[in-house]
Amino acid sequence: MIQSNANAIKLEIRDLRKVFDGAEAVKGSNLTLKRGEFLSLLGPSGCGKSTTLALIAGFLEPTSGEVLIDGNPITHIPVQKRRIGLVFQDYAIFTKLSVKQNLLFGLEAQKVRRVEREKSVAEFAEKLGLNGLMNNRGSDLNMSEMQRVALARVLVTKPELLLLDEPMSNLDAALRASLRGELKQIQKDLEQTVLYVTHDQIEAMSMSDQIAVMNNGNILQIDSPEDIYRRPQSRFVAEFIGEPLINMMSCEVFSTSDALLLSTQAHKEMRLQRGWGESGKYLLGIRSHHITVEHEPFSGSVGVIVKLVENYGSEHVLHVIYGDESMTVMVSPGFAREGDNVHVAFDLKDVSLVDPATDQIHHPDKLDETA
Amino acid sequence: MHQTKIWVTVLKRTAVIIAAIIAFFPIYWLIATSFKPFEEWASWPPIWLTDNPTLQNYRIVFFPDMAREFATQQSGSLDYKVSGSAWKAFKGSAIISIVATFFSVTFGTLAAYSIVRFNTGGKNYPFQFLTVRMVPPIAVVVPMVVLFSILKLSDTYFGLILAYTAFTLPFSIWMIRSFIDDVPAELEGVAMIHGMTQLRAFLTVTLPLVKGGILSTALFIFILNWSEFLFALVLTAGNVVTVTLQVANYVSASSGKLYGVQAAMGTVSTLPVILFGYLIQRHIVRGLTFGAVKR
Amino acid sequence: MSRIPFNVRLVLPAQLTIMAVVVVPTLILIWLALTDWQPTQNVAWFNASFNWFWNFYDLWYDERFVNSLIRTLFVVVFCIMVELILALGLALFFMDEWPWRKLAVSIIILPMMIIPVDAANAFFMLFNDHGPINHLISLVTGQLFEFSWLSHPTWAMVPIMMAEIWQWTPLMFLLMLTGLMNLPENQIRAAISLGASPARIFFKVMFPLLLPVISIAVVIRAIETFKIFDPVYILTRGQPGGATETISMYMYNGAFVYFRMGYIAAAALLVLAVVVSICLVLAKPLRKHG
Repeated sequence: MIQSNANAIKLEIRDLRKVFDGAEAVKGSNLTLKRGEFLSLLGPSGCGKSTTLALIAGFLEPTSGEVLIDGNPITHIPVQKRRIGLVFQDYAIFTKLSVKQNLLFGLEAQKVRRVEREKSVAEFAEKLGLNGLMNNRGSDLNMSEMQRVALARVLVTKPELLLLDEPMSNLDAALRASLRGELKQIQKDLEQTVLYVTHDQIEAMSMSDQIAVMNNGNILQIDSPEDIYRRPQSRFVAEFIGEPLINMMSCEVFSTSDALLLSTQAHKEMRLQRGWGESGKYLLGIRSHHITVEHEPFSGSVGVIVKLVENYGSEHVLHVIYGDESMTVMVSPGFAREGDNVHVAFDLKDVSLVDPATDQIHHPDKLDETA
Repeated sequence: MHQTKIWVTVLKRTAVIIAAIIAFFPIYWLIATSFKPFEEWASWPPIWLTDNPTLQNYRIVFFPDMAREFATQQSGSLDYKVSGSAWKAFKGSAIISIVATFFSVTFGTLAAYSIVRFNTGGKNYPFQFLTVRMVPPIAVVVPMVVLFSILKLSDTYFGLILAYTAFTLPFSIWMIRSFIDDVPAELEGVAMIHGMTQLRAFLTVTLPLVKGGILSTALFIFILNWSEFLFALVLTAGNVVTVTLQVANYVSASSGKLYGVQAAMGTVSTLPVILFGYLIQRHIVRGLTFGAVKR
Repeated sequence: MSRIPFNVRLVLPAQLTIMAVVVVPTLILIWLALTDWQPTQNVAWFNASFNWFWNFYDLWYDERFVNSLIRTLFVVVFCIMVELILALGLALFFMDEWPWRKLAVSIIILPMMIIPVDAANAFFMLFNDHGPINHLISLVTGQLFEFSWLSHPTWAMVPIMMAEIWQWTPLMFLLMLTGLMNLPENQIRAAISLGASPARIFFKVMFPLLLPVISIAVVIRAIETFKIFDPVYILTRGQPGGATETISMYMYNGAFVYFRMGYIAAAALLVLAVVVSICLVLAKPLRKHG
């Protein structure tokens, strides 16, 4: 299918709300997804992401708001006619049909000619490595086979939009890693527009063009994976993304006659650009591997004591005592042992400052624009 | 789903309403007839809803005097079956159903427990009991008549109790088995580690967990016993009467079937069964499929 | 007693009851089947004259027996087909939530709660010459319709089968509804999202998944329907002229109206052998789920 405008918006949801028995599961979400884009809806379980998916697919009727595909509202179009492909968490393979019948199902339902049906099914069976399984019963497949059949079954119908609902949560870690790559490759090859629902940040980070982080029925931030990671706009996003958990330290911003200064418990009077904002108490968020650490003191460093070393395999995480708070720092294995003295420093451009009143985040390196 | 067209919904609801009317109509007719005076029982055109509701049919059912008076009025002759009080039938059905249910459920619980926990008799053993349910009772009833006459059980409460117990055992064993199956054996294991005997562990740990299921089984079996007709018909001769027999008995030599009286008796006798049926609605599928289909 | 293992002692009461009421009579039945015992001739059952297999020979040529057997099989097949179609169709309307759904279920399953004898009596009244069925037909056709359903050799089967279907479709309905509600919801959703029509979803996805429940339901209903007695006894007693005799009714009439005990014992033994062997095969679906 050739679209005249490559950047056309494929899916748009406007002020989508869903109320169940008085509880608001989705609280007025907005989202746009361009053709060929891969967007992940990321959030903890119960955040409303699956409800959003069901609203887009059409299994639920929104309380208010609209879903548009190619600019046309589809809120009142039946599920059958939406041409939205779905991959379910349990894959929902038709257990009583063969793999081949599974793949043919959508094309038969859409009354595609036999010759074309067979051709498309053969093509996708090849692409997803299902050739040896075509006569197996749906009930006789293992998890990874099920996933590939579920994918092939919807892809063969060339859906306008593909929705995937936590498709990897039933797989073990090794399989997940290899399937992430495969899925991304297929999506790119087919230029398939994908909305991917997951609670796993690694899946979201590794495959997505855009990530929408959701919590409590709200979409908190939609950005590229880099920006979600580096520039979270709220405390929830900062803490939900990244491993280990982002460090949150108390700090205070105050102004003197010639400068705006920031002090943590250990680092004193780091210089912020003028006009940055109001003085007051903040939380300073800094990721473990944005912290520089040396055995010897260096410019801007403060000395800390290593309390605990966690082994992550390729990396070690030091838990150090920073003022009277705890901080984690990422280092290469064998860098330090418990009880060692090390010196740490960080750059203010990597810092997220959380306003404790609103939980909104300010990024000090953006000062020039606002000043 | 939500987008289904309105007329489809209307059609569906109409079908459901028609089904509900068909399901209810014969029962309505039974109840309606029970309040009709004699002249309206079989008049043409039939009376769909009587303008002269009367309790006469119920009086005939419960008061022998009324029955006698009625029989004399109608034909001058007296049919002993008509005049026999329904109280005797209720008493008979109550005794037989309650005692037989008690035996069936008690024996069934013990057997089911043994089958679940000890795999007694091997994998095919429980099917032996199912065969009992597959046999048409009429095939066994002929030699039972003989056996009962030897044992002097013909036309006694105990005879029917024995027959009912045997023929409901497949249900109690299989149904209770499916309830005990849902209780992990480890629970009893823990109790036994603390020094209880197997029997005590069963009585104090498992039994309380399945008592709801056993109660449902009991009600279910009570319904079967209360509704039974063939054994009662063949194995009694007037000394023992059950409600189903009494319903069939309201036939007089001169007027044929006494519709109104039959309807009154039918209405009263079926009430407890309906009540119990709804009480165990959740388990009735499990019961009638020997535990194969659970809700 | 103490040497009997605990678990065997637990099954003893049940086992002994079955022995007393089923196994011993079956042994007596085998003896009776080989005699021509007729209690009206004032001969004790154990003194009845031994007949070898002549009863079975006679049964083979007894049209009334053979016909009752065929009739019973017809009733089984017909009633179960109708029950299944009605029940499945109806159950499909109950898959989604709607107001009054629970009440509707309660009303629809009412017939199976009624004592069968009472249900049969209700149908006796409905199909009476002066009953509401004839009245309805009169009203619809506009001419007097006073058909004697219950004394017509062919049509008398209609009220009997109607009573049976009316009473037991609800059970079938409950079974189908349970089966449908337990279907994997996502397979149906997947089929919908792939653009399948309701008919395609039903026949390609739902029906195959429902087959195990359907087979259990059919087996259980077949076993029960084969025993059909109460409605026949109440409605026609097998009349007119044995035209509505099912196998149970035939045996009842033979044993307790004509008192040909030995002969009927042979019939019973035959039926017993056939039924038990068929049931052992048919019980497979139960075995799988048991």
